[in-house]
Amino acid sequence: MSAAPEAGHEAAPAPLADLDPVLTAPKRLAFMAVLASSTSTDFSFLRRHLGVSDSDLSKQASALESAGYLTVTKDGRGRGGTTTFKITKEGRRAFEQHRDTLRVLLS
Amino acid sequence: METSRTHDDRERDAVLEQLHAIERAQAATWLDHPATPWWWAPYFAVWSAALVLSVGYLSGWGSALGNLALVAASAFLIGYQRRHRGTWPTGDVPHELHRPLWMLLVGAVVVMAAATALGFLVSVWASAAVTGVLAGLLVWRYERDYVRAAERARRRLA
Repeated sequence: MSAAPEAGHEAAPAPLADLDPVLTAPKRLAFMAVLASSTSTDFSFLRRHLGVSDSDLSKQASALESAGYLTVTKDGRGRGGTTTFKITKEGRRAFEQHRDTLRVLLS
Repeated sequence: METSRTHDDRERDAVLEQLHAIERAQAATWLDHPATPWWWAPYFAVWSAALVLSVGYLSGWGSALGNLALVAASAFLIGYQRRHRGTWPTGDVPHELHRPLWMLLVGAVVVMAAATALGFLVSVWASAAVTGVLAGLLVWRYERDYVRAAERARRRLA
């Protein structure tokens, strides 16, 4: 029989280890936050929102793709082509855990 | 002691800043997009009137083809919006946008009720005309309210 938690007993603080090292970079965190609230988002939207260069955005996207947090789709080629990003289940889980850990740290 | 407190405050500020950046980024898909084109409200006016005619005036294959064309037009519109905005938002809506979204929903129900009543009591053509005008006005008003609410949300999150 398990005892009920004592009144006023504070939860243990979330371990810092719960913060995802891939998402500690602010640009990557914002990248994932945008993807977490969209079915898919294209390259130009993210570049505009994050205020970064093409090469920087590609670098961040590669890091997140390597971690298995997003998928990349390319339609067409050249100037008319579009690159679209979509969050994976693993990416969503990692992002939500990271965000929840930040909230616990704050409280 | 003072140094330690300052360090804690800095850490707290850093965490707060990260949470704020998350909130801003999650709201961005709802807020940061180009203005809706001028033909948006007229498009919905024509589409709604066509729907009334397709359902109330046509029958059999004619109605089926009409409805299919309207579904295709909707799919085109969704595809256009997705390309135009560069994203398709999901998840938590910034609270400033709740009111225009609810007003759109309630307005759509009222327009549908008016369309049905007019179709039965007057004529399908009268219903199509009134539905077209009401739907166009509803979308125009929604767009105007959305833009204002989005501006308020952007200011809060800035």
